Amino acid sequence: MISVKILFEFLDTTGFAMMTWGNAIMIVVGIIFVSLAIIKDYEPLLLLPIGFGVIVGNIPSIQGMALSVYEEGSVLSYIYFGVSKGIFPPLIFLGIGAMTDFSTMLSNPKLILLGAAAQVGIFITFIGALYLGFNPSDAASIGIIGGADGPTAIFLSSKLAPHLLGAIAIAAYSYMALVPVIQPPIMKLLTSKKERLIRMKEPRHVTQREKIIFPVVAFLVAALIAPGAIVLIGMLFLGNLLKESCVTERLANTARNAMIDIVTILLGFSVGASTQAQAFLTNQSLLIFGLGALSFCIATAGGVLFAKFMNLFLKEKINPLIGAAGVSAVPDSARVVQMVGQKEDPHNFLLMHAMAPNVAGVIGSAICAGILWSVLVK
Amino acid sequence: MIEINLSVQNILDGHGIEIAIIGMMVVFTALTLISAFISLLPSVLRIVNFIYPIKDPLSLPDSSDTPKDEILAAIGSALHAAEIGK
Repeated sequence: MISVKILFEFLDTTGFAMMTWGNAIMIVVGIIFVSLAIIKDYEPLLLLPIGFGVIVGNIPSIQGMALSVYEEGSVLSYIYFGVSKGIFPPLIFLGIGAMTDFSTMLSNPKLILLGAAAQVGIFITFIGALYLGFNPSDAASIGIIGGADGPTAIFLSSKLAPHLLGAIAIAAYSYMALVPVIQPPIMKLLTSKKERLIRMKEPRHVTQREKIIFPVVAFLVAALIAPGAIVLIGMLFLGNLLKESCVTERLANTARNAMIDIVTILLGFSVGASTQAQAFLTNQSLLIFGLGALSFCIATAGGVLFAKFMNLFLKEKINPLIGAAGVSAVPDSARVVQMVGQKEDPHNFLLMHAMAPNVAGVIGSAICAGILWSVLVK
Repeated sequence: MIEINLSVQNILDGHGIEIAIIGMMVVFTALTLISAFISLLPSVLRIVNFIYPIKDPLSLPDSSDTPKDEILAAIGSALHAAEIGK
């Protein structure tokens, strides 16, 4: 009789007994993310750990057992510590810096301005979120989704709106994965066929001395203007200096391979595990997803329109499609530019040119995060 | 949980317009300065190279096209194999 009672008590603690509709929906979402990563190859390095994290995070936990990311002392909470305290994003920036070649940007510096123009999505969405009733810190964290930079979005929301971190991170990475779907219609809508056919001059050769001096000076300029961006920008340019100095090849290799991979796994998994239905399935999350999409679209449009504006003053015209790469999302948005450009002219190679606003967008969105953090920090 | 409260007053209370304008100005200023610096860099380097010339251009390796030991070993191995094949 006692053993039957124990059996029923045990059955009450199983995930089946405590499963809510919300958990079931989120588990399906997690499975969709994993499927998209495997079948469609949409940002698999991110969507797969996030998707599996979503599944793990939505298995109902037993009262009194520290299991979820939100329960003090649980193993997941220690992994999530790197997200909630903003430790993982700078480490990812170190790896990005160690794998980024700034040559195309150095060879055509005017294209950097496209990376600034695309940040308009962040600030217009910030205003939109305020209009909807979000407080300024929440609105800034939502707006930064338009930077199309997952680590930056996580970093800023961990500082300004930790309670929205899960929704913002999922929105940011989802839209980064959906770059090939979201951007082309906007790019085509805002450009004429003639503009899409513009061919650009081959980038000039950049010397190694330029590549070595650039990260130091660019860091000083960005950090002195927006000190809030020190952590992200500092790590980005440290990684790049490790790569370009040619004397720390081992460190650069570790940063761009083993380290960024480890941090990506931990970040993706713990962010996914933070999306428990009870905290995630709210009208607030839906609003964040809607505003995030809006932010991304405005950012794309901002880059393309600014490229057209620049063409009014330039003798050597630039193909306005490359403005769309200003949203960062390295290197996916640059690839999208190449793809859209080649649909018009299969012999037009825009990828190298698009990488310039693309990497400038990374710097721009990190500076935006620094500005918003320093203005809104309490 | 947020209560949706559509109001322009929210934007004014949160200094939305001011933050947006200042933010865009700062981003443009920072990236314009970086852009200007990059534009000037080749001229600056001409002077630097004049004062501190690179004695042997090969002494400053290029990170993008430095052959890796493994690649050199593979090339050597392939040449050796081809030689034996003869």
